[in-house]
Amino acid sequence: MSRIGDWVRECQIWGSVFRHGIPRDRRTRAMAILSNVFLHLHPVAIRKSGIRLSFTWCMGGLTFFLFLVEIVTGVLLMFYYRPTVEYAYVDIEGLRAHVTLGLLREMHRWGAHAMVITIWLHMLRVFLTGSYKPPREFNWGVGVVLLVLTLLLSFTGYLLPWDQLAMWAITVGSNMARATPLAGHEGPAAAFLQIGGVPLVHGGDDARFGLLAGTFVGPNALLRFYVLHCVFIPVVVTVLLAVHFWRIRKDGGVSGPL
Amino acid sequence: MPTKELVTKVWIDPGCIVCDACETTAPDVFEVLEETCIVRPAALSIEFTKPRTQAIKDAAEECPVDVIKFDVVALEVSEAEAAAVPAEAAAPAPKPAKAEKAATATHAEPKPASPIKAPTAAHDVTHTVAGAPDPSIAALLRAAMTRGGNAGIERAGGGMTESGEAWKRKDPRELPPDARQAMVMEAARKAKQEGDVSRRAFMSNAALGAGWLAFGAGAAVSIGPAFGRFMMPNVLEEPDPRIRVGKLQRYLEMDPGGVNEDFKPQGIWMIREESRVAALNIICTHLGCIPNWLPNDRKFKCPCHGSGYKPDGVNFEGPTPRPLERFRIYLEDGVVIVDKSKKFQYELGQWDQPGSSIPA
Repeated sequence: MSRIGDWVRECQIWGSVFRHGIPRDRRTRAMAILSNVFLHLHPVAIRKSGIRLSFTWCMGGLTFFLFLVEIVTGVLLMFYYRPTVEYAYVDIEGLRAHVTLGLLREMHRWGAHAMVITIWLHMLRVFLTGSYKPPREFNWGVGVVLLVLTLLLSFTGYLLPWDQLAMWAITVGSNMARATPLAGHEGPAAAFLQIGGVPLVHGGDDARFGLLAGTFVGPNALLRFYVLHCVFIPVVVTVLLAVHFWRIRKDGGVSGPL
Repeated sequence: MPTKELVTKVWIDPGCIVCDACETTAPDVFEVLEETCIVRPAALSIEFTKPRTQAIKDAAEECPVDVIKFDVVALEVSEAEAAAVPAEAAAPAPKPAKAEKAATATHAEPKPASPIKAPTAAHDVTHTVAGAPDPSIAALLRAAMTRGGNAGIERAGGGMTESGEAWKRKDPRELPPDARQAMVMEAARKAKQEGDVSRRAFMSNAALGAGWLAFGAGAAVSIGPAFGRFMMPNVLEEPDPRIRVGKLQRYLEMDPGGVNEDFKPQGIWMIREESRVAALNIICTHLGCIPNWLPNDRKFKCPCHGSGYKPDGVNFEGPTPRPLERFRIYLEDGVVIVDKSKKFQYELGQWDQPGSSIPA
């Protein structure tokens, strides 16, 4: 057995991928982190106290895990779902009944709920342990943006089943955009934006209109929310996650217990 | 007799990649700066490094680029002492007997006196260096000064100030590595501080800055709105917001205070007031439900939370904060048209504006 192991580790393919020995001592363990493009975002080493479950609750890690779950299940759902008024609802029904592992759609939904819960708990933990304080204040800011983006992912995903709940939830939610300062036609200061009595910001040209691509929740809104949900927001979240993880390392690792 | 190794001195060679590993392992000995790791000033004392021997060795072992160097001495200790090794140093097994001789490392005779003097020396040096150095640089300089070797000899010969200057005139190749690093950083700091930017350099920087600023502003002004406009469709496949609700005569014949529910499916109540005809939006201004017209009570009553409105749309009971909205209304070829895309609100004084009603 060990001879097979030796043979594998001595062959050129193995050596070309892994430039260090098996991580048994401190040096090779450090090398394993530093020479891996994904792991090198993380600290080479962290304090033992910093990984105590009672200290971190592992909530950041769980949130990231759930994000990966959402990516995997979401991409699988995209193979069947068509974001049109004609097919959207039918496809969601079909995802439950017409495919093997129809559970995936439910997993995507439950995972989304769980992710919102864990990200809030993660924020609570960071607050309670004072880990938002300098030098980690920038990372706290990144984290708040990630929280908002997670909520936006939930919001945009809400519309896609295209049932009554989805329709009216987004109707109510997008109505809030009417009150955007300057950019919403019912918002503060929007009335000042006019030329010779002709308003520049009105119901057919304001923040809500840009969000829905129409004056009510219709086919354009469905397509727009689909693109935001599946491409735009996940890409931004992925980039910010890399920054978030890298900053943990640059700011001195997981903060120590108070 | 068992022996134990003690670290007498620790320093950093050039080539640090700022991986933060050593600071995590031995935070009180190493500090990772932006460009390199340094040994903290406190850790220059032999009394400080001795009990941290194991942590320093661990850090040196895990350093991916091998730049952490240290000197050790092997001391003979009694069994009891060996057992009572400080917590950090508890791990290593006692070396076999031959280590006793081999362990005479570079500095066989550590001079305990000189490092202990270090604080005084360091204090003086800080004053001789031009300007007020950055604390980290000062730490590096102190590290260089308090180390044994030539600098120490000169210090013994001359005054502190002189030796400080002499150290600076020395060939950098003879200096310990972190002293060289300190010189580089000191030079960089000075260059930044002196600010002797030539006029040419200033002008070229200014031109470059202005150019980029203009480019950025131009790009933001042109591309930003263009992409913004892209998100606003110019053609909509939505139902026409203008609804034809029949001849005006039909509404003029209603009694004042009357309500016509024929166009409720389109979201409109046609109402007749004393001197005008208007179109009410049927959406409750509380939370968006649709109230019912109760002809016997002569009021609109919302089933959700009990908001009530008079026949002209003004609220009088329930939680709603404001009257129902009115749509724009106008005549075209004798036919009344209601334009749902434009609303008039009572609380903004808009019900008297033209277009909010048709005079009877």
